[in-house]
Amino acid sequence: MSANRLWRLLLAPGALWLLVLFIAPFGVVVAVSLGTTDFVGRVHFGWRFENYQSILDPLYYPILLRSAIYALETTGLCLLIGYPVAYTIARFGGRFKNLLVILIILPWFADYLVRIYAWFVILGDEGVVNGLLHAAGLPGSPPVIFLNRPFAVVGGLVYDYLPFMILPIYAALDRMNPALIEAGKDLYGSPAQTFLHVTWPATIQGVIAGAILVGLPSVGDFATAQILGGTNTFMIGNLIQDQFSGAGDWPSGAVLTIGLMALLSVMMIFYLRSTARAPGMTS
Amino acid sequence: MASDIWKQDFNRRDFLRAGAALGLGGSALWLAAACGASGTPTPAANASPTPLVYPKAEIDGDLTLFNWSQYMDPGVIDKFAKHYGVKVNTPYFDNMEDMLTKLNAGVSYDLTFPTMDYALNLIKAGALLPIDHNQLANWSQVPAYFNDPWYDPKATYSVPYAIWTTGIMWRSNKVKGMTGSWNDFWLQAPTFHDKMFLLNDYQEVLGMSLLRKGFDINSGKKSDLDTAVSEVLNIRQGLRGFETDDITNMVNGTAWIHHSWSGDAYQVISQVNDPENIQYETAKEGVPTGNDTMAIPKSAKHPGTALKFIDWMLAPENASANVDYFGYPQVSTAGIARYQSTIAKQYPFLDMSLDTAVNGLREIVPTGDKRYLWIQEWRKIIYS
Repeated sequence: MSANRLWRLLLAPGALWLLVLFIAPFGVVVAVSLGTTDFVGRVHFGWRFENYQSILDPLYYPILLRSAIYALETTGLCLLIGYPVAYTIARFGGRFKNLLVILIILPWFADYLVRIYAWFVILGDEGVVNGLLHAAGLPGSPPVIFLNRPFAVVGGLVYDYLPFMILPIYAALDRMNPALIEAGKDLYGSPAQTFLHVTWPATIQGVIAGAILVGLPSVGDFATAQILGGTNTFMIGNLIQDQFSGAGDWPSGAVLTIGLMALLSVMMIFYLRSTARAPGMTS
Repeated sequence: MASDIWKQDFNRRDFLRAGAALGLGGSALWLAAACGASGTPTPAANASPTPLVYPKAEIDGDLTLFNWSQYMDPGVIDKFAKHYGVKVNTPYFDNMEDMLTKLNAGVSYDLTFPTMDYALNLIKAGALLPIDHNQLANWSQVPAYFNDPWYDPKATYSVPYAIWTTGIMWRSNKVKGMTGSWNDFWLQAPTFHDKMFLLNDYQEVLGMSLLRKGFDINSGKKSDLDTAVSEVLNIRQGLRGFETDDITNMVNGTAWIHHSWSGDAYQVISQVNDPENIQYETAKEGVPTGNDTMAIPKSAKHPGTALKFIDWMLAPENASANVDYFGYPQVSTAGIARYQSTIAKQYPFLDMSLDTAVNGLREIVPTGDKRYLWIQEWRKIIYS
């Protein structure tokens, strides 16, 4: 029994962490969502459940749809880019495996904003790429407008979240017994068939984990669209941020925050249930 | 819809009830948040005739200046820091609502820069500390009108900072045929929408569109605003963006035509390789104008240093240096003289006088139901 008590004691720091850094702030968000703001934007608390009607404002629909599309595109692109990278490292990395994984994470030690602003220098109207295109004789000034466009935002999201796709897939591939692939070949499976029937099913949990880790944060991302986006790239995160620092409407911002959290929680529960049911993933 | 969201008042007890009901009433953090959010005095507190307690102009710690970015000469700030041996932090806000949000979130700033209409509201809300003119050695630099401006009787809570006009900045080597009208955005949009930005500021965009259609810049009529919004929506689709950092957009070549503020045009001129190609115009339908102020929030931890800094900025040599950097007439005898003898002389399209701020067309931030209407109309523009 005393061992049990020890374990409970060890839970305390984690529980305190959750309470102080998640539950209490979330309580504040809930309280704000039921309040009003006055003429200088101060929050006055109340019980205005009707604030929640604003979540159905048709003005929000295009933004919700756009966020979902960007998140799906981001996840898809990360998978297309990330899987081959993870596969190459896991199967052919040899003794450089760990080094290669570190190289993937390395850029993320630099501040996100610094890395995003670097894109300005590279892809700006008068940036490096447009300079090369112009020198190559392409018409127009600039030859291509990269920034402030939807693909700039999706590109930025892919750039930012790619490691979250690569790492879980890499882990799944690394864990997989390479003899399985040999077996597939021995059974006269073509490389494509072997991949489809052996490798892919063996790593699907890594793919799902990657999709969740990339998809969920990119739905709620706001900095990328704010910096790289233009007039037609507003996402849910921007919408929420705009309630606070554009419109001074804290209650609407809080209502939208809770709405987004509810949506992401549902998706998270779906994911957890799917992994719980998956065979061989109990360890 | 919650149309009265802006006018209902709730008090601190409501909040505590809310906290208790959520089962978190005992959480220390929760209470701390409560103090941050509702600890500032209610408007009623301002009405009581308690004598004002003026902070003393003496160094009482490091300074946190909360301002627009690129809106003050860093050299003048550095000199202040060295002279008094303090550190000066300079966080920025993107616009006035952003400033209010951060103030209301309980962040402590020693000095901030509300525009005149926001200063008026902050004064009404009792959110500013009074300023004793006798403690400012350079108060005599403040022009007579600003000893009793319309937004702050007897200049009790604010010191004027800069005057601006809102207009259009463009690259004359790329964009031709500007006509000195707000209609130039609509005129140039078919060709240059990819290189065109409007300010990310609801008062400026709606005000501009209202003026173009001959309406009052502060109209509270829904029909006026609906028209103004549908006109903006006509050019919105291909528009490159909404952005208040007009300086960066023009300097790095992303924008060729930008809804902008006068002094920012000067900063672009001073930063590009071809200053002769940067032009700025105000519109014949009406020129939005006004002045910023320097004000000390009640939450300031070092109001003494803030007062010292205000005095520092009013000193003739510092005001002049600041004007040379940020390109706006700083409201002081020396600042305005400097502006007119240098910038306005060299670039006649940037000419403006004190009269611009005193008698100009002011954008007044809407309150109550009108504010809700304006915000809803603005949402139609940026969310579509």
